[in-house]
Amino acid sequence: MSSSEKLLARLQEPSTRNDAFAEVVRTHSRQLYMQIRRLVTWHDDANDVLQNTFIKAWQALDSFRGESQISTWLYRIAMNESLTFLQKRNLEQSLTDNDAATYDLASDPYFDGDRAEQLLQEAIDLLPEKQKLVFCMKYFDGQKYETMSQILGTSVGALKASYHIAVKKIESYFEEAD
Amino acid sequence: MSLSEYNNNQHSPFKVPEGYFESLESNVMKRIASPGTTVQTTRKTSVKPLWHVLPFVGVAAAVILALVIVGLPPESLPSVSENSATEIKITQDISDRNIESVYDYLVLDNETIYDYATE
Repeated sequence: MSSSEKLLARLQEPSTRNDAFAEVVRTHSRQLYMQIRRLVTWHDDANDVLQNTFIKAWQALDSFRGESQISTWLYRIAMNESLTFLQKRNLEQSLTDNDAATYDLASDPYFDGDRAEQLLQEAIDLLPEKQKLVFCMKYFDGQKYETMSQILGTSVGALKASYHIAVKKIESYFEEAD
Repeated sequence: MSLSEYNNNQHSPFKVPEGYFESLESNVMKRIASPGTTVQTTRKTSVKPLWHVLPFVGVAAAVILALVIVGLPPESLPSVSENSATEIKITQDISDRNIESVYDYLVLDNETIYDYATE
């Protein structure tokens, strides 16, 4: 039995489930955090989404049969949670006085990027929610369009077009900043 | 600069508070042990000035005022002050709390309000 099969068996057994899930959190939190953080930008928001992801995973444990790797399964949950969060945040921002521009990335104590990284993250932050996901999943996570199509429920053709447009927007943002 | 020139593999620009990942596991497991809890976003937001939805407020206030005046028995109406026979004071408390009850009364769902406020 492989290590992933053993972990799955421990997750499915009530007496070992808690310890096994704690191990899942320890093993996967850093990578998931960074993937989420790219999308939501701010640490506090990334923390909210990451914790939500694990809570949702815990609640869905009974339906996870090991057809995919745990990392893949968690990634899908994280991307959907991120999309839900982004849509909710955008709606709330449209009703508040808090302009997104007042949150200065350069002054964020939890952002340690150079000018190019700052520009890139700012450009990403301006993309519509789903397009943001498409871009990050493709560019940073190296996901195949077929995988993204299953996660986002969007056709491969539409995803390719969305990615292409996202790249153009980001490069245009770089040109304006230069 | 084009995206092809940007090297995205070497450095993550994101930092976390000290001890974040070390405490994450216990935080998650505590929440799992307490079912029914939901994540509270840590961002503070403030509601836009009320004038954004004043048209709704105006209509709602007029409707309610009309119903109050028509529906109330005579002894419930504001009485004329003995000191000022022609002065009738009608005060309206349009606090945020009352706005919510107004919305309920008019069967306005939040989505409709948000759509209007963001036009």
